[in-house]
Amino acid sequence: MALDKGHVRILTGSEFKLMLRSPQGILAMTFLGIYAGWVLSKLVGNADFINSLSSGSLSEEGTIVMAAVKWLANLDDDLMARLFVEHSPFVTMLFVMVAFMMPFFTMVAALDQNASDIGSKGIRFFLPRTGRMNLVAGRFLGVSLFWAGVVVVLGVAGILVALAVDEHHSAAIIFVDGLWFILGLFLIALPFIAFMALCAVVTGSPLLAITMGIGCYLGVALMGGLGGWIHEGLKVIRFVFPATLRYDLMLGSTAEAVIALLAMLGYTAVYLFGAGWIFKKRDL
Amino acid sequence: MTNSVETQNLVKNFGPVQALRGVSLKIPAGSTFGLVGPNGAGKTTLFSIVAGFLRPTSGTVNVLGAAVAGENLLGKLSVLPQDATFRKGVPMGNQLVLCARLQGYSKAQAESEVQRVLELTGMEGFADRVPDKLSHGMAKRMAIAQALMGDPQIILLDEPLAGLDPAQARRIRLLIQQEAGKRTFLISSHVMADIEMLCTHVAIIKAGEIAAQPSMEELTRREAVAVFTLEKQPDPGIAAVFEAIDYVSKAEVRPVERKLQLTVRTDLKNLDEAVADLIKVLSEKQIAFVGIQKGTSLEDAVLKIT
Repeated sequence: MALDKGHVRILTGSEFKLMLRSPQGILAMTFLGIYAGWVLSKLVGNADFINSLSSGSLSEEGTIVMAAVKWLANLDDDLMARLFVEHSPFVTMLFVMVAFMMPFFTMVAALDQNASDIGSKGIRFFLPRTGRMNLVAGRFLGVSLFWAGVVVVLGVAGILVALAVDEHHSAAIIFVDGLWFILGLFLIALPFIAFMALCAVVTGSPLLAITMGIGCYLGVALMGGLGGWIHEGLKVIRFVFPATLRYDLMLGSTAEAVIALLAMLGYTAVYLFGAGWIFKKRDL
Repeated sequence: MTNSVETQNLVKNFGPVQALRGVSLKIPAGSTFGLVGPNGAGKTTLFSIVAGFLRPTSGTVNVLGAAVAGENLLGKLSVLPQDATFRKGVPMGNQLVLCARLQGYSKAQAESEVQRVLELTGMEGFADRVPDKLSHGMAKRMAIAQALMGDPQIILLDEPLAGLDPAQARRIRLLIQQEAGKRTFLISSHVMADIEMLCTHVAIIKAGEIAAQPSMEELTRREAVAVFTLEKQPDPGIAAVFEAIDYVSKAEVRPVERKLQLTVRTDLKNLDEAVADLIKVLSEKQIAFVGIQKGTSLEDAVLKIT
């Protein structure tokens, strides 16, 4: 069943407007705002220390922080050096911290899509007027557009903070890093929006959708981690979600970033295809 | 006459529950088709399959010559779903404009179409209200308004008059009557009087099967009933006297109510003519009566079948 571009555009616009005043949109925006605000305040409060991370000669405290970031983002020494010396450490730190929590905030923002309409049977007002695939695509794009706006605002805030406090990098570097930060965070979010589209059409309830989404995410992380201890091969479970690849999106290595970018788009396509297939087949 | 809707051996299972058991139905184009039956008979399930909301477990549905759920039906079929609710917190006007835009109207056209259907249903002035602030009857009229948008060839109305006050029910009834013949209506209702008033055809569904599909006239005129309220308690033996008359198919005496109910085969005798004859018989037998009630209703006919 082909997509109707006109219908998808109308549904995207409608979903975007709904998101601006929806409880889940406001809640996710607030959570992300508070968390990112807290991270930014810490970066500003420790500006001298963060600037020292770019100098190459690290204090004991700096070494501990770098080790923590290295562990969290699963980066090698060479990549770490580039991310903190060649690129703005403020943008890098902000990316690492925000990217870690991004799947959760994104899943909250994207928990509804078609779920409440399936639950209330309000979807039946639309079915005689538009194709099922249009509903999945339009609402996915509407949520994505909304979340892209939120990420842009966060990115601009990050760029402004970095411009104000970064002593070692030019405005041009900070600006390019900031733009990549925005694109990277959005790319991390996309597959999770698509995954929530899948949860929404499976459960037909926003509450069940978010429970399923976060449950699957944590379950996979847990199984991937524990399974990895038991048998190396079980680590592959982690690749059910693209979260493992999120830190490859940082500009440390162009090749890895491009692969991660393509992987994010691939995961998005797979989840969205799954959502569309189930929505097309299921009773509404 | 061509058919707007044709179903062949439709079966729908919900887990172990068989909601439809081989329903075959033909709905003539331009007819107002009533679907009646007791609760849980499968009316809404059949509606939902015809509308493309539910997939049949087996069997086929053909709407306007195309397999249902095909995109070629978009805009040609509109539906009043029984238990669907609009999205909370979003003004009704916005929701209806979205429906109209998906039906192919530009933004300006959609606004004017919404205004038209709101006026038709008496809901103009409520476009700014959110669904949470509408009464049940108002929400039902909003849902009817969305079903009237555009120029659909088939309109499916599941319990269209349930929950409406008498004035609004009449308004909607008139609307349907005005549109009857121009498009095909499929109406499900528990209120037999509504079906009798609105529909040209009727199908009676019972336990997931079509129990009968006569024309409305056939259903309500095949047999007629004359009920005499007698002055005194009748002798039960009097029934035999009336059963001996060739056009009386059944005579029933209800002593406590002092009633004598006679079922007349109208293909043998017109009811009015029969009643005149029956009065003569009562008079000959010196049985005084104080009232007569004539005719059978769809309700009687349906109750008999179900």
